[in-house]
Amino acid sequence: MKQPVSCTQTELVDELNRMLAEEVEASLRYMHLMMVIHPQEERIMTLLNEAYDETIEHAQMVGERIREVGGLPRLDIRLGLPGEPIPPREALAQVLTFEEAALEGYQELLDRVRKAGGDAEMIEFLSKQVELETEHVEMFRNLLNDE
Amino acid sequence: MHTWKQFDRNVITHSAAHHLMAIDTLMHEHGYARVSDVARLLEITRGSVSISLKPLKAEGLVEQDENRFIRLSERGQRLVDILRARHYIIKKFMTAVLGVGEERAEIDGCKIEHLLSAETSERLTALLRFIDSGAESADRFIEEFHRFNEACLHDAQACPSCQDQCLYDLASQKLQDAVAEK
Repeated sequence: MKQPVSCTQTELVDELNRMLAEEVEASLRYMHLMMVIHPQEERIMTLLNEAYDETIEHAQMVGERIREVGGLPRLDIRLGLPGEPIPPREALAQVLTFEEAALEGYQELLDRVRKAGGDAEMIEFLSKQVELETEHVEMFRNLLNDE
Repeated sequence: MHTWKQFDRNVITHSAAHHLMAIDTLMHEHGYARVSDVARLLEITRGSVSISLKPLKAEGLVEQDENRFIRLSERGQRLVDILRARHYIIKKFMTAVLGVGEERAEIDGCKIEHLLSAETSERLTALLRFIDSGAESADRFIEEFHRFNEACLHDAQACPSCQDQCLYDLASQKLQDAVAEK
């Protein structure tokens, strides 16, 4: 027998805080990658910069959602990044890896909120995030294939 | 190369060891493991887990199927078995021989398990076998050791083990206290 899916307010805040950590961590990874890839890689640099801005924007949106559902945004990230130059292909592969992880995270949360009969606004927000992250993943996957 | 620099080039880093053991734990508890489960267990982000798993997959220690479920390869499992055995050996040495508390032994075991050489692990195992053998001399050794341990006079000059300063005084000081000392 299938277990009923629950998503209490506390669980939702916890999950959203996990997504906040994903977004902030991703922004730091973008910033780091922009510093360690060769400045001549202009096209990739521009894309990383745009993705960095979007990730910060996503983090702010997730933070707002957390407050809207009565929680407080918290940041629990542990990140150590090596100070070595990264070839463009490796940088793109890294981006794809953490963007796919973020997409998976939003998708899992969306499924859970839907199954638990969560509110329409939250479902709409998460669906939008899935859509945006899917675009990111597609874009970086194509770039990686072109490299 | 200096020994301390070798820690960074260890075959299995502290983080990698924990990722591998987390997958093993999840497989035993739930029969499956996903990136999100590992992230939850290790209390880190999915992104971090995914990035950390990349070299482990490239090394052939972790495998991922088309449904994104992850599992240890045969070699990965062997590595986890070795790590768990070392953790057990260190912990048992700390509790049974040194008299360290369970909780402290668990934490210190976790810090050391992936750094300990096969040679030292083997000698520690030999010592534990001797302790567990039931030989009268083994029981007496433990008893005598614990009795002797309490009798430090904190006099470096008179102690055959100490150098310029009392080793016991230095060994028993917490590093964070030494850092904070003015």
